[in-house]
Parts: sequence; C-alpha cells; structure tokens
Amino acid sequence: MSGGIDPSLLNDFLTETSELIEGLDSDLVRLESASGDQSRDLLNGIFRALHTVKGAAGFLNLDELTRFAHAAEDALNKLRTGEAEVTATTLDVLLKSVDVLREMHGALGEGRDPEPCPQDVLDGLHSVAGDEGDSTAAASTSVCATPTAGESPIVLSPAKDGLLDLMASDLGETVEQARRITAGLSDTGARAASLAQMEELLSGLVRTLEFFELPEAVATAVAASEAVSRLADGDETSLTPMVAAIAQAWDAFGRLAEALTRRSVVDPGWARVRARLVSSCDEDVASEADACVADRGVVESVVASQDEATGARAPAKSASSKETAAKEDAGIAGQTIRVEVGRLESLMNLVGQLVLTKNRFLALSRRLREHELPAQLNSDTLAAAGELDRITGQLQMGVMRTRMQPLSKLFDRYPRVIRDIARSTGKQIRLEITGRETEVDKSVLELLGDPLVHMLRNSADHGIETGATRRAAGKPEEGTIHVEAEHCGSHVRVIVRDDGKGIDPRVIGPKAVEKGIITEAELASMPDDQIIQLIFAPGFSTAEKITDLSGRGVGMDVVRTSVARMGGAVNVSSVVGQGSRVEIIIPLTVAIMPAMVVGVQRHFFCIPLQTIVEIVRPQQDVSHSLVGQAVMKLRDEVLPLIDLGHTLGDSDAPSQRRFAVVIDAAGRRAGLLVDKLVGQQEIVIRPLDDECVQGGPFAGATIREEGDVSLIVDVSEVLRRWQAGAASTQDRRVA
Amino acid sequence: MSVPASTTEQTAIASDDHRANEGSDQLQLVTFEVGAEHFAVDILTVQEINRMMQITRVPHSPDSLEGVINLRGRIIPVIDLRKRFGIAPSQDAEESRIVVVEVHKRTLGFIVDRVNEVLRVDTAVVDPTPALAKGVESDFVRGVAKLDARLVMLLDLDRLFSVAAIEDLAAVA
Repeated sequence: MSGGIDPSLLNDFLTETSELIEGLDSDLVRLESASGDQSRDLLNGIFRALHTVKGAAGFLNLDELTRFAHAAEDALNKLRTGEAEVTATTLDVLLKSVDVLREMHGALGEGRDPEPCPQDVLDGLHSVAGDEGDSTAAASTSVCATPTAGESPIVLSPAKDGLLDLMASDLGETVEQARRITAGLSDTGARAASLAQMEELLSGLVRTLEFFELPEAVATAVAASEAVSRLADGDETSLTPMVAAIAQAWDAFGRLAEALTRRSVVDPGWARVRARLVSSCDEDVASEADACVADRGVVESVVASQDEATGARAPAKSASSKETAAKEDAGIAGQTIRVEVGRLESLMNLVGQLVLTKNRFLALSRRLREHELPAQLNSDTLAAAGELDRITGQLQMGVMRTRMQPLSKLFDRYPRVIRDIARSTGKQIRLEITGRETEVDKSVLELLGDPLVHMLRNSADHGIETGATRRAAGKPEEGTIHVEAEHCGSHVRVIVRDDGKGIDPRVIGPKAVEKGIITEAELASMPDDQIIQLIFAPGFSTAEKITDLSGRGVGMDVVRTSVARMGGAVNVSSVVGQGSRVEIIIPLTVAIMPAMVVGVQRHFFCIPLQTIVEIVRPQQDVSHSLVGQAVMKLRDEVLPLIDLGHTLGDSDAPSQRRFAVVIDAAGRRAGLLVDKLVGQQEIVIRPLDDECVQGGPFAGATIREEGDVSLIVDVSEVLRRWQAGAASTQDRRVA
Repeated sequence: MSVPASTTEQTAIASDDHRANEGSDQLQLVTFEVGAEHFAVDILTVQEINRMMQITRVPHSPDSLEGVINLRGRIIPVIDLRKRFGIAPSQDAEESRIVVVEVHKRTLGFIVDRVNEVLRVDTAVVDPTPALAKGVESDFVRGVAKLDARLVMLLDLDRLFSVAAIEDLAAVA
C-alpha cells in the first residue's frame, strides 16, 4: 500500500510525525504525575499530536496507521473529558500504543507496510475508551448508501475508500464539538479558551477535508481558520458578524458530514460561506484565502504554519502574559527551514576538506618564505593565507553550529525508560534531568544515545534498590537518578548518578578474576577506585540474573568503546551504600579537533590535544625503573612511561625517545614516549571503517598537511593495552 | 590517472579480434602482473589505477595489509598482492601501481607490479575450472583465460579480500 504514495509526501509525513511521536512518550510520562491544569494541557497536547498523526496518515491513505491512531485518540478523548481516569494501567496501554505507532512509523520509513497493530493493545485502548466492540465496525453499519436530492456520490480511490466511513464519522464528531465551542465564542470570559480549541479543530478539519479531496471545502476551512486566528489575536472590531460567519461555516461542514455518511458530497454554498468569513477579515486575508484555492501546495503550507501557531499559542492560554513570548516563538518558527541531514553532512564534509586544503596551503606559504622571492609577493601571500585561515575558521564554526542539537533530544526519552523499569521491577525511581538545553554536534548526539541509555538502565536496574531494602538502609523509599549535562570548554560533561547501593569493589574484584580479566595477584595490589573501573572491561557484567532491562550481553565496555570513539573519556566513582556516579566527557564535535602530531621513528601519529596534559623531556636521572617498569617523576606524581613505538608494534630497537607526552584518560595519567614533535594541527577525523584496518589502538585517521594519512591514537585504548601487557609481563616474571 | 596510454592500442586490437563474435557475452578485463604471473580483474570493479603514493602503515593489522592511503579525502586500505600471494618483495617499484576496486561496498586498493592492458574477451575463452592453478592461489581464481601464448588468471576479488581470508593469512604468517 505504501508503494503508491508520493515518496516526498511520505517523507514529509515521516519527519513531521516522528517528532510528534517522540513527544508523546515524555508527555505521557509527565501526565502520570501531573494534576489539574497541567494535566489538562498535557492531555490536550497529546490528543492534538495524535490527531495530527491520524489526519496526516489519513491523507496519505495509511490505513493501518489511521485506524490505530483513531483508536488511541478515542481512548484519550475519554481521559480528556474526564470520563476515564488516568491510571498507571491506562498509561501502560497508551505508552504501548506509542510503541506500536513508532513501530509502524519505522516500518514506513524502511519502505515496508506496517504490521497490523497487536490485538491486545487495541483491546486495551477500547477498554479505556469504554466501547465493547470495534468502533469503526459500528460506524460502517450505520452507512446508508442512498444519496438524497442535491447530492452527488463521492468518488475516491479504492485505497481511501476503506477509510471513508471512519473519516466521515470523525468529521461528524468534529462538527459536534465545534457547535459546542461556538457557543463559548460570544462569552467574553470563555472566549480565549474557545478560540484556541476552535483553531485546533479547524487545523484538523483542513486535513480531514483534504482526505476527501474537496478543494472548495478545504478553502472554506482555511478561511474559517484565518477568521478564528484573527479573533484570537484580539481583533474584536467585527466580533458578532464574524462569530455568526463561523457558526454558518460549521453548519455547512455539518451538512457535508451528514452527506458523507451517505457516501455522497453536497455543496452547501461554499463560495457564499467563504465570502462571509472573508468579508469580516481584511482584504489581504481575502486574497490570500483565494490564492489558497488556486494552489493546493499553498494550502498545505498555510496549514503547516497554522499548526505551528496553534502549538505555540496553546500553552499561552492559561497565562496571557506569555502570549507575546509565544507569538515571538511563532515568528522564529517561521524563519527556520528544514534541511535534509544529507545536505548538511556533505557541507560538513566539504568544510573538512577545505580545512585540510587550507592546512596544506598554509604549510606551502610558510615554505615559500624560505625561498628567494620578492618581499612584497611574500608578504602578500602570507596575508592571503592568514585571511584564508580566518575565514575557513569562521565557516567551520558556522557549519558546525547548524549541526548543533540540544541534548533534550536524548534526555526527553529517559522518563519513559525509567518509568518502564520502575513499573517492571516494582521500584520507586525519580529521574531528575538538568542541562537538557546543552547543545552538541548531531554526530555526538547520535553516538551518545546508546551509552547513556545503557548507563541509565544500569543505574535503575542494578543501582537503585527495592523500596524495602532502601527503607532498611535508612534511605528514602524513592530512589533518585540524576542526569546532568553541562558545557566545559570545548567539551560536554554528562553525569549519571544515583543514590542506590553503589558499586562494591569486593564484588567487582573477584568477578573480574573469575572472568579472567585480571589475576588474583593484580587484584591484591589494586586500589578500590581502580577495581570499580573494571566494569568497563570487555565481557564484564555483574548482573546476577539476566533481566529484560540490562545485561543483554552488552556491558559497560560498550559505553567505554563508544565514548572513546568520540574522543572522550568515561570515569566511574562510587561509595558503597550511597550510590554511584558515571561521568562522560566528550568533545562538542567529533568531526574536527586539534591534535598534536608526533613522530615515532619514521611514522607520524596524531594525539588529540584534549587528552594531552603537558609535554616534557624526561631526564635520564628522573626516570626510575620500578619493578622493570619505566616511570617518570612529574612534580609530586609518579607516572608510568609507555613507549609509543613498542605499543604500536614497532620491531625496531628501542631508542632513547626524546619527549614524553603526558596524557590523561579519565583521570589515569601516563607519559607516552615519542621521538619527534611535529606540531599542533586541526585534524579532520576520517573513520578507519574497513574491517581489516581495525584492531589497533586508533580512533580514526586524518590527512596531514603533506597529504599523507596519519593515524589518530586512542589514548585510553593505549593505556588499557599497556596495562594488559604489563600484567602479562609481570605474570611471566612471577612464573 | 588512468590506464597507461599505450594500452589503448592493444585494447583496440583485442576488440577487433572479437568483433566477429559480436552478440555473444564479452568480458572487459584489466590485466596486470604480480611476480611472474598474469592476472586480470573485471573492469567494472576497477575504480581507478594510481601510481604508487605514500602509504601509511597501520600497526596491529594483518601482514598483507600494506597500510592506508588518502584517496581524495577518503581513507582506504591497500593490500600488497605480493605479500598476499606469498611472493618475495619486488626490488623495482618503478612500474608498480595501486589498483583501486570496489568489492561489496568496500573500497580498497591493491599493489601490483605492472598494469598491462585492457582486454575484451569472449566469455568462452575463460575456463571456469582453474585446473592449472595450484595451491592457495586457486581459491581466489575465478577462471583462466587462454590468450595467445599466455594464461591470465581471473581473480575473485570477493574471496581474495574477504576479511576472514586476510586475517587467516595473518594467523598463518
């Protein structure tokens, strides 16, 4: 069925609805704890979102999706009117239906036809809505197929035909609601609220009418919508005639709805109705409304902007002081455009290549200086190079900023995650989120998604104890998980901390020995704070039973690996009985970063600048050998020295390396011994994505000023490998 | 750069030879030498042929992997066919080329001693059972084309460069 849809329309639908569906989750979870006004606003918002999804799906003949959204909408309507209670069970059903919607949405995105929705979810929705049977079936039996005088039978494509009855009865309901609301328009006290509801109804109506392919009726609905929004903007000059015109318009829609249940269309005098609506508005709007009739495309865009306006205005109805702010929002919304991610990606790619070319050009201009050239030419070249450098930098920043997205895109999913865990484990968990407005590069956002959910699940599943255990330990029954994000320099720090039972080194240590990650001897000499870092080791999982929630065979090593891939670091700290804290530090962007280019023998490597603390020359007399391990004393600290040449498998004889690059990976420091320091460079990270070049401690590769490839060292991986290697050397020595 | 200009002449001759068979299935092959042997790959898999360039070694990667190169901003692995076939390294790299191919959405390059020509051959000339090829190599040979006085082995790039095959070799080495 989806095969017949215009791909670009389907794409628009998918983009628009994915945001709505994402929002549904968090709104539903918030609904659980909301009360009074807030709860009503949320319900209205959720209803509106579902209605939009349904309308758009109906327009595209997405039968399965429309039916399902309709069922969910029915259930919500009962909650909205107070005929049903918001309980944990109702929410379970509604959240499950959001999952079904998401699944259908995903299927459409992959070009599949969505699966029919599971019967248990449908039954759940019907029981919330209070109907016994399928409401659509009931609606279709009432259809009488004999058109009356003045009506002509409606002709729709077979795909739409199946939905006709459903949409017609929907239209009837809309008209019923509108008639009730129209009464409130003349009442000064209730006007603001009535207008907001009316706008909402009309935007839904436009979509419904588009489904029936009735351009005359659509134009009338658009005109009515214009009229209502003028009233909402506070234009009271022609209040009474306008309200009358709106009421007349609804009468016309009522007649249409009635005719449609008989599968026929009627013209209740659209032109006349529209003229009345328009004559109460000014000339501009009148011509605009006429233009809409001429061009369907315009109709859609007008509808879209009205949707936005309604969305922005809805929260303002409770407090009129917010109205101006909301209008400003609507203004900004009008100035944003949607850009396909692919285009931004290719722009970013080009900027990356530009940066590389600029680097090469700068290198060339420096070399030029060494040659006998006219002084003027030389300085002109340098000036041009400097200018190029500056502009490239600004361009890079500009493109980068178009890719920045707030972390709320990730964080807003977490209330649902936590709620599900709390419901299935019977724990009481409160989630507190701060810094959701912190912006990061899109690619960072994507890479951060899985690790964060994993950390969160760990906290909720393994960290927070059951209510009884917590009470016995003298803690409040309700556990708390904090998710915090903040900018620090060119980095973002994300912290997940909980007040659960913490990570016990006496449990972790033996487990790590049992899993063969470390030896008994190593464990004995390990400080506690290092033992708990072992949870990041591959193949380590402390879950005693494999639950549905975490322990799916992927452990915290996934977190560590993903974070390292972004050039970041992860660190865990914990106090037994008081909770644990996992901190992730990642660069704002992963595409371009400053790095130090170092030489080891005849090879060059890049070390990300953010991991470098300082660079020193280790003096012979301060490099001590501690149990066969070269170390260096840096002020009060003793740091192990790692020969980068050896770690990278160079078989050449060890030479006396001249520099020690002191690195810091999540609090662990070491000196990397190198031969040469080439200099600092902006590097554009290219993935080492072919399988046969993976396996080394590298975070990727980059292209140097000279045009050749240089590998980017993943320092935390180097440290990890060195520790593993040092352990096995010690073993051999012991044996 | 592309295939050396001198080869176009030979291509023309080759296609003349087979004009009589027009209508039957034809293959266009890029032929090259590694050690004493002649090999060929389907021209459709070849993206470009480059002169030798700076190759960056990748520590902890399989032996036959020579390293990675910068192919206009993309970083692709390069495999030394001599090492892959267990032939001693060449002394003279003057005519060596990097043949860039696309296999299963992977782009990679391989080093050959010399690129010879582009040939248009009839599929009938290709013997699918490589009875003449022996040893490890036969796994990667899709067929043998008998051309004039020499035998050209058609390489099966999928097998030749499958990750498992490259890593197996590393394990043996």
